[in-house]
Amino acid sequence: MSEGSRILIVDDDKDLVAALRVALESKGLRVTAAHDLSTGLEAAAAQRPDCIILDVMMPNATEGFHFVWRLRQKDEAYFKDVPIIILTAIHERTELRFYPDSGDGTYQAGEYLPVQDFVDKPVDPAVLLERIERVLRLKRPA
Amino acid sequence: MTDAAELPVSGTLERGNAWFIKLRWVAAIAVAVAAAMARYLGLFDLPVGPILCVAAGLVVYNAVLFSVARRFAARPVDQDWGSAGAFARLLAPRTFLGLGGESRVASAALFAFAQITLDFCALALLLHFTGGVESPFSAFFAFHIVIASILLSRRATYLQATIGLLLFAGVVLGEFSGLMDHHSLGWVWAPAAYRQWSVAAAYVAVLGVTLYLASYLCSTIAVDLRERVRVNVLLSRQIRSDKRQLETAYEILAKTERSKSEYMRKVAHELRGPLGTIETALKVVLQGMAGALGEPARELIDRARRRAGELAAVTRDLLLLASAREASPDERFWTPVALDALVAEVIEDFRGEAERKGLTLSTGAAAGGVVLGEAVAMRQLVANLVENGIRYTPPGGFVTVQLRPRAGCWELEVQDTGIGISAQDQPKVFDEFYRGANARVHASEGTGLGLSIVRAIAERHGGSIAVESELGHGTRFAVTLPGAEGDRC
Repeated sequence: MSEGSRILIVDDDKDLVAALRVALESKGLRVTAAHDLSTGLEAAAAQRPDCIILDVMMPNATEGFHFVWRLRQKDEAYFKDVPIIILTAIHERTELRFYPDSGDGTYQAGEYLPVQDFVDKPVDPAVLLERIERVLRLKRPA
Repeated sequence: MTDAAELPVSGTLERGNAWFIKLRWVAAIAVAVAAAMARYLGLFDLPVGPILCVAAGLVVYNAVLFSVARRFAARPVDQDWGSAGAFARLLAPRTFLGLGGESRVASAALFAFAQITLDFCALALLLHFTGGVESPFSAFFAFHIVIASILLSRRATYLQATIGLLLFAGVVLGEFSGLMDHHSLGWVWAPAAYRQWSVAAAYVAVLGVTLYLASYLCSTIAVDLRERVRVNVLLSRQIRSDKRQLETAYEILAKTERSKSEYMRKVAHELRGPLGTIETALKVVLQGMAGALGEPARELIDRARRRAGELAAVTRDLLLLASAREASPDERFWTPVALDALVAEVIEDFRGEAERKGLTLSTGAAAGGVVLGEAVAMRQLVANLVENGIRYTPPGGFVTVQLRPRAGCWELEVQDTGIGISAQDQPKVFDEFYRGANARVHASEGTGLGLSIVRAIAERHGGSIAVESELGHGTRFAVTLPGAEGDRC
């Protein structure tokens, strides 16, 4: 596990954030949290986390998607590359198409949602940790 | 006898008047032809001139009646008919309210009354020119009484009988008293019978009895018939109104069903988030991330996590069911879906689970099976049936998926060698939350919603589902779906 990596969780469910914080911190990750779109964007800009965990359905329906688009629009390279993992319920139907998992940590520009991974809800902490480990490893190749 | 049956429905009366006018053309021709033939064949010594005048009179007043009838038909239903209407109401006081304007019915009755009275006058003249009491045409008075009873009220029919009898008596008495000429037909049996008061009285009495008896008999039958017609009219209206009520009830029911689904969807949606959080939090604890856990605590938390998982499964299935039952299928998400590829994928997904249970999961799917629909829902349909088969089949058994074309449609069949469904449970297996007694014993998991979802998805796509099963031997589910060309199954 990439000990000491900084993880930002953006999710309006504070109880879920609390549970995930315990899970992530138990593996030596440093966790900060934000509970809506604007504070999430501010936290990302101020803290420059190594990875962002994002909930799709926040109070304003598809806030999570907007978070992604607005973050990736920023000019700085950091914002285009910081790994984002989306927490989602697989049964949620949406008109947005997701970025196809090409398995090498890159994403295509265009209509797809430019994120690194999806984790189904209800979240299995072991699965989430494994995915975090993976995107962090890809981000910093040995 | 009811008041309403006093008169026929307005349409009947008007049709009767029109029919009466048509008959009169025939009668006029028949009178003229008969008189001419009788004369030229030398059968009777008839005054042909006056009889032809009567025939001409028939034609003239029938032409007038014809034009009046046409004007009648052109008038609006609820027009006030003034004094004519008031007089008509005297003749036919009780009418069908609500089956046409009251005035219109009454005026049609007056018109019929006038026609019959004119005919009686013509008939009296004809009678006079064909021998008075000797004339065989006196029986024709009875025809009009029959017609009067069909078109008019009972009271008006008796009034017509009286008018007819008075006219006949007038002719007989006129000839008897010598005030009118007598045109003998030359009957050999009684050349001066018209001069005998007993003969005259007897003819008048017999005709009187005939007319009043005919009035009584025909009115009674007519009133009964009208009552039946009225009942039929009311019944057919009732049926139309019942049909409307049924349609309204169905709409309300459909709306209620939609709001039920919508409510179900909202509740499930609200429950899903907290349940997911509970499950995740418990997993964090169980996976030792929140510190060491004593064995009793671990076991209790594991039970709680399992129960939370069951609840999450129910809310997930309720959401699926609600979206499968949405009012209008959102065809924006419909794409051609190849069932053969879908079946192969689902089988691959469940292969591990089947092997763990010691089951043989196989497919004999025909190539193709392209249907139009929601890919995610179709996959759910196949997966639910396969999962069901695996769940209720003991180790060593088989679960087989078949796909075959059938009359423009595709039949997807999932057959297992499982515990089966009893005959009394079979009609209920598609009901929400229904699980057969043997199913609950065999497998504790299962929300009881899987087959409801399958049926809802099939029906949403214009298809259907059938089940065949034998307790202890296995079950076969067959889903029929329309082909992508839009065929109906």
